Amino acid sequence: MSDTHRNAPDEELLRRVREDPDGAAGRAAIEALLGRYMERIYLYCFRMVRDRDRALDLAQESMIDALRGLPGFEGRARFASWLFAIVRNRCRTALRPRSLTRDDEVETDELSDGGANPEALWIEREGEARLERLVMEHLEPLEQSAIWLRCVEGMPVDEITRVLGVESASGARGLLQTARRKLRAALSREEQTGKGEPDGTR
Amino acid sequence: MERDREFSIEELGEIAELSSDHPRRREFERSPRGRALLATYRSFVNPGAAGAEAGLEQARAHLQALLVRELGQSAGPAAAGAAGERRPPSNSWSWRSWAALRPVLALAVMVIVAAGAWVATQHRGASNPVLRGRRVGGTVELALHAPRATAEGLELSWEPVAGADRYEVAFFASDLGDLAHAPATSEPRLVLSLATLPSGLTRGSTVLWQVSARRGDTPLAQSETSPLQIP
Repeated sequence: MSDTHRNAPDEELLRRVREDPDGAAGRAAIEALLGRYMERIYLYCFRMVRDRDRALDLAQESMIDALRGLPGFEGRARFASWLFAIVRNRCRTALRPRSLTRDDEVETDELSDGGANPEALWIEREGEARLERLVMEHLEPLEQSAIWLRCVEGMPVDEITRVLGVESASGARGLLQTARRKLRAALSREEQTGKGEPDGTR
Repeated sequence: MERDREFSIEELGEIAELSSDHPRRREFERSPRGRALLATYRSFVNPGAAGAEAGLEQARAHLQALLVRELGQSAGPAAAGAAGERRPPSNSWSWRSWAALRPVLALAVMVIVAAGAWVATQHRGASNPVLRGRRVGGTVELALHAPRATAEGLELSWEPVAGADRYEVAFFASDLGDLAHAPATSEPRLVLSLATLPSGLTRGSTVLWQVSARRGDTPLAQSETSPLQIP
């Protein structure tokens, strides 16, 4: 890669792509642009799925999506955030959303009832808006972030510890346990009072 | 561009650069959604050191090869330069010598290729550097035809898939955010009427389209996403 490409900001490389979309200069700019994000794309995917082959598949698909989508990228966003949206979408699609109140990666000794979990199913049907209201009403800010990253972003527990900079011995695991306990209690109370019924009668 | 309810993903880069007490950033970080998005965005942009378990070197080689292949370059600028500087062989052969040896060389090449193919099939595994395909969820790949403007509108068509009883066509923004889904069709074609485009699609825009073939609820095949210019 030439120095003019290596040192050019993203916006400059994008300008070169637009000026010569099908020519050698444009291709070189695309290669430089995606080349500089290649490792970040892969590492993000790896940390989300914890498996090299799967991460490589996701990274490859993300890069192809980016190549295909580049002609439609209008430059309203930072290139990095546009690319992030693509990679995040790929990872979110690949990772099944985590149940709000049950999670195999988090010890749930005091939470598990061993049977069907209607609350979890209910939350999944209700979606993110319902979850957001619940976590904002019942959890501390750090617990909110942890449960959101786990349940909506599908982020592994170790990665949540890293991303949120949790320094306690149990890391995000402890936060998630507390958050799940509080949410389960809140859900139970709402069930008893009839608030937040799944048929939209709340 | 995808909107996460009140937040647009496209704002993230800008928001992340604001000071922590900036009103826009504080508003963004007020909700768990905003804080989670910012945290994940930061971890994407600044991933920190990768442990050996990530296999970064191997991944880098795969992805670089992918880039070169997808951009249609048989060799990048560095490789092209190296080729240009290649020195002639020190022991010169005349063209007649090459011509005489051509059948022998051809046979040797065939033997080497066959042996290589056999070795590859024997050692196919996680460390295989061959680029992986793009199939999704174990389905086979579905081939799209080039979109065609007709009197009815914009015709999208694809190769039929054996056993499929319906096809679903989805449209995405360039960041893969959902734009629209056409009603399922049993035919391997769909005509988009430009007068009544599905909600989410606008004339003059470039979107991505993708077709999934199903039999009942079972996915059989899926195409890659492909650009579509809506006239």
